[in-house]
This record gives sequence, C-alpha cells and structure tokens, in this order.
Amino acid sequence: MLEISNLKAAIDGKEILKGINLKVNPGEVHAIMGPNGSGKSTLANVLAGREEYEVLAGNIMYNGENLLELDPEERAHKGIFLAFQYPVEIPGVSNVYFLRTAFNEIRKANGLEEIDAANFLKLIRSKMELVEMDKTLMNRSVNEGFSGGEKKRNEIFQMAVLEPKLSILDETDSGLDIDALRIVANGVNALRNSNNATVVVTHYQRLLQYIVPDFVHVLYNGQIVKSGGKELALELEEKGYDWLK
Amino acid sequence: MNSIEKNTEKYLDAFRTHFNGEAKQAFHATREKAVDTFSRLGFPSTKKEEWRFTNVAEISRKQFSPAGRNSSETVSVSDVEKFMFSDWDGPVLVVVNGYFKEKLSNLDSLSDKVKVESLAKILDNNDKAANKLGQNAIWADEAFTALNTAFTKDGCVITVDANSENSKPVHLMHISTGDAILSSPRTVVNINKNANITIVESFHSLNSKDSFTNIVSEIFVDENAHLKHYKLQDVDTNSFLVGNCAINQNQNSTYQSVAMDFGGKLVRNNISLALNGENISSILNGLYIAQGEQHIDNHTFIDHAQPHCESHELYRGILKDKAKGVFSGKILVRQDAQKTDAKQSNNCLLLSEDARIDTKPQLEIYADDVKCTHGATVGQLDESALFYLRARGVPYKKAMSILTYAFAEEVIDSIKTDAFKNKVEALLLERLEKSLV
Ligand SMILES: Nc1ncnc2c1ncn2[C@@H]1O[C@H](COP(=O)(O)OP(=O)(O)O)[C@@H](O)[C@H]1O
Ligand SMILES: [Mg+2]
Repeated sequence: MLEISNLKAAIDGKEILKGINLKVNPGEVHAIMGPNGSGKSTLANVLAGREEYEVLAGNIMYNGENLLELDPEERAHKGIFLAFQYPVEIPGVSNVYFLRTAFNEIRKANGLEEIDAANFLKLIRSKMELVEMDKTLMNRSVNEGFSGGEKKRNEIFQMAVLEPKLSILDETDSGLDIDALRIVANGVNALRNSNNATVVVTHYQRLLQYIVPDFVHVLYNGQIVKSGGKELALELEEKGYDWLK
Repeated sequence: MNSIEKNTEKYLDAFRTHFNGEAKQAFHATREKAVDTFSRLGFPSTKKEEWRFTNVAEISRKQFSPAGRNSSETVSVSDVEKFMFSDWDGPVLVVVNGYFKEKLSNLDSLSDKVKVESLAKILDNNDKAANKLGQNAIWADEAFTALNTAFTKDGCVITVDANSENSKPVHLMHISTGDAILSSPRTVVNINKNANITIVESFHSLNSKDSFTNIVSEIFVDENAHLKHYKLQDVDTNSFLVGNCAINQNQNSTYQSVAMDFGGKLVRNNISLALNGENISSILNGLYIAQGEQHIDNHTFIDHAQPHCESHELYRGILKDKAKGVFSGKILVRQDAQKTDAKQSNNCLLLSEDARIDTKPQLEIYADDVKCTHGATVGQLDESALFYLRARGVPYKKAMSILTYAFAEEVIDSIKTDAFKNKVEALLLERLEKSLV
C-alpha cells in the first residue's frame, strides 16, 4: 500500500528526515515512536502533502502511484487521512458543514453521487456514537473553543466518517485522559479491516496497549533506527531511547 | 491647485442651466450658498488629512452632467425587477438618477404609519420639512455634501410615526443610468419616538457608464426609536460613488448600520453619528469587497456627547488584484460622555500581493471613565486552516472560498432581515465562484 524509500525532507532549509524507509501493507498497524523533535510529525505532514516541507530526496509510492506528485486534496481523495497532532480551529465554518463538504468532495472525486444534508446527518449518527462525540460540537465552528480532548475525538470522528484507506494518527493520544483514550482507541479498532492500514505516531507506549500494532519503528534524529514487533514498545517504555543512540 | 479650481467651473456653469421651476423653491437660496461653498472648497486634495488615502482627481477631472428628470424616464418596471430581492414582501421605493419614481415603486404594503414622500414635492410646497434639510449634513466644510446640496432636486423622505412597530422593512433602491451622469439624491429618514423599522438601501447601475452618484442622507432616530439600516452597494466597476450619511440619535435609541460595498470604481462612504442623549446604542458594521482596480474607502465618525452610550464597529474587507481599501474610524468621546463603551475593529484580508489597505483608527477621548478599544488586522488566509481543509479532501479553490466566506460571515450574520441576508450571501458566493479566489 505504502512504500517510502530513502525519504529526506527539510523545513526552512533544515533537514529533518534523513533517509526514511518504511513499507505498510493493507490490514497492518504500524507504530512510529520516538522522542520529541525526532521528525514524527514531519513524516506525517509530508505524507499528507503539506507544502511547507521540502522533499529533498527519495520517493513515496502509494498504491502504485507516486504520492509526491499529488496535491493534499488528491491524497485525501485516494484515501489518505492525517489525524493532526494540533487540529486547526476554523472560525466561521461549522463542523458539520466542513465534514459534509469533505465527504462529498471525496465522493465526487471517486465518481460517486453527493449526499444531501439530511442524509448526511443520518449517516454520521452511528459514527458519533462510536467516538461518543458530543452532538453540540457539530454545529460549532471547526475545533473552535474545543478542549484538547474534544479536538482529538473530532479527528477520529472525521476518520470514522471519511473511512480512509491509510490513516496516520499523529499523537492522537496526547492530551487524552484514560477514558477518552479508550474511546478513541475503540474507534480506531472498530474501523480496522483487512483493506486499510494505520500508522500510529506516538511517543508514549500507553496508546499501544489499546491499539495493538503489528510493527513498531523507532524514529530517531530523522531516521528509523530500529524496527520490531509490539514488544519493542515495551522495551522502549522501560529503557527510554538512549540505548538506541 | 489651479486644475482643481478650474474643475469647479464646470459645476458653476451647469448650476446656471440645471434649474427651471426649482429656482422658485425657498430651498434654492440654500442651493446657491452651497454652490458658492463648493466652488470655494473645490474637490478635496490628498493633502487634506481626511482624504490622504483617497485621490478624487479622477472625479474632479471628469465631465459629468447633472442628471435631469428626463434621464430617469428610460427605466421600466421590468428593469427594476432584476434588482428586487426575492421573497421581499415589503414596500420598494425606487430612485433613478436621484429622482423618486413613484410609478416604479411598490407602495402597496406600506404601513399607514410610514410615510414616503418625494423630496421634490416637499421643496415645491415649501413644506416645513424642507427647513430640516442640511441641519444634519453640514456642508460648510465638506465639498461633496455642498455639491449635493447645490444640485439635489429630489430623493426620498421617509417618516415613521411615533409608537409604530412591526412595519415591514422598506427597500429603497437607487438606480443609476446613462453615461457620465451626476446624480445627487438626498435621502431623509425620520424615525419618531418609540418607533422601529428596517430600511434596506441598494445601489445599482443600469446601462450606465462612468457615472457619479453623490448622495447625502440625513437620518434622525428619536427617543427610544430603533432603526436597522442595511445597505448593498453593487454598482458597476466604472462608477463613482460618494456617500455622506449623517445620523442623529436621541436618548435610548438604537441604530444599526450594516453596509455591503461590492461595486464601484471609486467609492467613499462617510458615516457620521451624533449620539445626543443617554443610553444610546449604535452599531456600524461593514463588509467591502474590491478587485481589479477598485478603491473603497469607509470613513466613520462617532461623536459620543452624552454618558452611558455604546458604539460598536466591525468592518471587514476582502481585497484582491490591485484593489485598495481605506478604513478610517474616528471616535470622539466628549467630556460629559462618561461610561462610554466604544469598540472598533477593522480586519482586512488581502488575497493578492498588490492589494492594499490603509487603516486609521482615531480615538479622541476627553472623559476619564470610559471603555474604548480598537483593533486592526491585515492578513492572508490562514495557511494551516487551508491545509487542514485540503488534507480532508476539499480542493484548493473551494477551501479558499470557504475560508473567505467564513471571514465575511460575522458581518453578514448581523443582518436580521432574511430576504436581504440571502441576497448578500448569494452575491458573495457568486463572487467567490467567479473571480474572488
Ligand atoms: N515550521 C518549522 N520550522 C522550523 N523547524 C521546524 C518546524 N516544524 C518542525 N521543526 C523542527 O523539526 C524537527 C522535527 O519536528 P517534528 O517533526 O514536529 O518532531 P516530532 O513530531 O517528532 O516531535 C524539530 O527539531 C522541530 O523543531
Ligand atoms: Mg509531533
């Protein structure tokens, strides 16, 4: 599904990713762990197509296509979803309008008919239950004045509605209390199937007790310095990152 | 300076030939004084502080001919139809090139508590209402108001009786037609005690080229009366428009202006509010959208003369291409005006490198127990919001459009008359789709 080879990327002229290699197959869950500043969000943003990040070398193949040639919206149309570490507030745009627009744009791009407001509301009801999303948040401006936890929950709710093929969750666990964490994790798990894949970016092992990864990778200073199974996460929890230097 | 003096000559010549029967009106003596004043003042140069950012040389150089009543005869009922708001069930008053057209108007739904008269008739009859003219819109120092006073022959006079409530909103439609025409309408609005009403003014062009509308409005809102005054200015981008609107409020009254400026080549709006009693509330909101080489200038002046009044201003601008915007908001708080609560903000969105906004807040405060704030922001669309939308699948242009719309929304939301709000929203969406982003 996703194959990253020798990816190097910079921001403001500073090289952050220094040769990343990663392969993700359908049905798999990969965890990317690493200390603050190691480049996890950079990798997530490059995958989503954020233009501030300059790709210096390497390539990314996604379902047989060169991902780097696609605009962010085209990537979304083809099933890529980034749950933001810092979801953006958009005053004046209601959450439900935002999501319906996104939903319909993705459908349009895939040759499907658009769905009207009434049917959309029906469709999202069960997804709201899945992540125990507060109804009143739907008519508020996107993320505006949401608590940290509500923002993260909103990301997973959007993911549940848009049903992406490749989800990248950037620190979705940070700022969540244990109940919220369980809810979010349940949501992610409920959406897992053999056709989609998830990349979970985190620097705590905690989330991985709920979303059990098939692979764990350690990103350190812009490179993946170690990969392993789910037990690697526990080892990191115990020993920290220093031993990998 | 020489060129400006010469440019007033044209108007002196025109003044001699422009009036027939009207010269017999008592008001004509005022016109004569006003044309003298105008020729003495001349068009303001950018050396004048209030005109620093708006150069009217193009207006002063052009040869406009003052609109005669005949010039307004070409407009038909079906022409007017296309400027109507859908689902509008209130009265519609039509003014063409400054002349009130009763035949084009729809006065059926006019409440008997609301009186609409043509200014021409009032002047012909030398009614006492005529004496009030100019009381509010002082022209001693304001060339364009003097010019309007010199050339105005007609306009609408709207009077709302005391204690009348729930009158249907009134749509006052201004149409400009013909080439290089100078229209000088005068609007007078009197809202008597305890009355309340909504008046929507709209400005349009019809087969018009290089025309200049120089309008003056005088508005009185009496004790405990409430006026919502909405405006849509959507004239062609070859038109010039200068508006001077003077509002006088008495105690416990409210006045709310929501002004949409979407058209015009060179537009200057002066809104001047005198708060002459206690517990007055005034709201001035505005949205201006300019593209190409459009220039839109909003000048507001709020005179807090009495205690316990509040004034809130929110102006938003969206500028693209080489468009220029000006916002100047002056707030004067006199010594007696304790407990004044004055808030002003102007936010401008620049959608291109060459677009430009000049903002000038001016607070003059002589009372010590007041709350006055002002803020101005100039910026581009939020890049991270744009990326967030795109990352969810919303294409670039549509994402720009959504964010631009959201920026304008707060001002549009302050419109409480749905038929008008819908019209404004539709126009904005059309702009967004066609050219703005
Ligand atoms: N906009 C930016 N401008 C400059 N440096 C940045 C910017 N964003 C991130 N960085 C730097 O890039 C490095 C990696 O950041 P990031 O990818 O956010 O790390 P992580 O998500 O692993 O904590 C950090 O050193 C950070 O300071
Ligand atoms: Mg990060």
